[in-house]
Amino acid sequence: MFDPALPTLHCDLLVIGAGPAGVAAALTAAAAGQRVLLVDQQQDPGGQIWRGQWRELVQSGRCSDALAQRWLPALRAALQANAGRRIVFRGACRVVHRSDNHTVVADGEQAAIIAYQQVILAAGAREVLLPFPGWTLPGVTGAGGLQVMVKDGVSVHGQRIVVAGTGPLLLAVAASLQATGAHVVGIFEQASNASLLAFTSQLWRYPALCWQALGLRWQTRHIPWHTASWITSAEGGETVTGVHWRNAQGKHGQLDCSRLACGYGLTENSELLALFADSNSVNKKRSTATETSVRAATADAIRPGITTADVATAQPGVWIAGELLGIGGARRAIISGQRAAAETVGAAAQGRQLQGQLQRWNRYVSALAQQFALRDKVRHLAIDNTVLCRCEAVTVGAARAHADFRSAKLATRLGMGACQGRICGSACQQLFGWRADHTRAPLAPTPIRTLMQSAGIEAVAVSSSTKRVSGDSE
Amino acid sequence: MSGFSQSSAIEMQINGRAVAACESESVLAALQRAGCDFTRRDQQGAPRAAVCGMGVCQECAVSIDGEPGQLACLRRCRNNMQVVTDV
Repeated sequence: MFDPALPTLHCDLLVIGAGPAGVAAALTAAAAGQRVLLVDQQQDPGGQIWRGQWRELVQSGRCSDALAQRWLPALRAALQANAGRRIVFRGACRVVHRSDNHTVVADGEQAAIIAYQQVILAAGAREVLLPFPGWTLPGVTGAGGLQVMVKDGVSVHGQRIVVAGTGPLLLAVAASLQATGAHVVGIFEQASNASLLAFTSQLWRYPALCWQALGLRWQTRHIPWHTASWITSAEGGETVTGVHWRNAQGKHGQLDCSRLACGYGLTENSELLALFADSNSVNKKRSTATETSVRAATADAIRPGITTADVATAQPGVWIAGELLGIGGARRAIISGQRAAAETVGAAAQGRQLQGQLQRWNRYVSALAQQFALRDKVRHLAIDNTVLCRCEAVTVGAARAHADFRSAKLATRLGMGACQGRICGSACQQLFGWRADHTRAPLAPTPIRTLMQSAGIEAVAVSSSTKRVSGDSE
Repeated sequence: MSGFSQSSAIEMQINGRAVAACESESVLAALQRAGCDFTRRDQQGAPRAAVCGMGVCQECAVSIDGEPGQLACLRRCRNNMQVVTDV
């Protein structure tokens, strides 16, 4: 009925995530003689920040993004080289499970087992999405979320769009939506003018970012930009038709729109960290209630502090790069990818030099985190009947009755749907200060077929024997 | 956006209806152009549509060529692709 086993791909270095960090890591390691397998859940390399750039490169021979143009053509050349090809890229590929210290199970268009010597985790970041009345209406998306949808062909031409949330991404989103013909009717930034000033006053240290910020502000100069302001609710029937806003001075109003692009900053895709944190975890029994906190603690131990810029982990041969080191953007991600790759081949001098470059970004990373911290009013926009867990339609009121994430989860199915708490986990942290359970393997909804085909691996056999298809379906 | 007009035109089926698309766009783009504003109805019957655009939220999960749970925001259109929403 099923194939007895999945094909096995062999490499010296597995790089998970083909955004700026992963691409830089793959090219650096390949140049040092490693056989590299670069995987990404998207079909093309580039990650979220360079989404659409690979297609441009293939179609027109170059990338419109200057930073992407510095890296993606080199990757393309490395993939095309017939003799001595050092990098293999596998798209539409998600690492869902880890079997021992040197193999993982990947799912996607073609499932496979990947055998590696060392691994660099460059899984990037996702947007923080917070619940507010009306946030489940079609047409309400993340801010960066809508930007990437548009990069992949979603049309917003002539549509009235409100861009809201927090962070420098909002200007970039508004500018790119406007460039594709959207009518951006307002930008609502929850940070105060004082915070924005404090943030921009750091930018002179990073000339490329400074120019980028000035350019974006110029491009969006005709869009009303409301600071210390936020969206309190979205309204509509089958899709969003308008929003209500409020500012720190208590002023409020309403705006008609057909889309609301609302993102409250970025958070690391830390699921892989938990998967790689504990080399013995796959063989342990998983029944005790304390196990969650143990796993959380191991993930903390493996994850360096937000500004340490340290690419090493407690596990030999497991390295971290990019936004998993704390949110710091593409330029910093590239340096961290190079640094992680230098470590995999023991290039100590190169590593030290890159470490110095990485540390120059520490100030930016902390300014980003501090100046765009969410105000209490924004964290508590949801009312009791607002959906909190989108997958399982658990309301804020139903969750609030419980002491912590774990008990809310056991009683209400909070965090147990298809996204496995990736969206409501951040929301619960902001709303209640709860720490979400760590996602268990398989890290994404995986066909039982894949699990059965990899059943030679003990840990997966355990999962499939209990008919567990997604890690949190207890 | 550059690129979409240059890529080859294809035809696919969305909920049994033939729609024109191109190979470089996401299934989500084809769905929205075809007027599919939502991809599922939730436990209370309220419509839901793509939110994160990055393969995280799972709200855009559709059935593609009979395989459920495929994320429209990450999958690219292909000729004769059969997409079914709200499964």
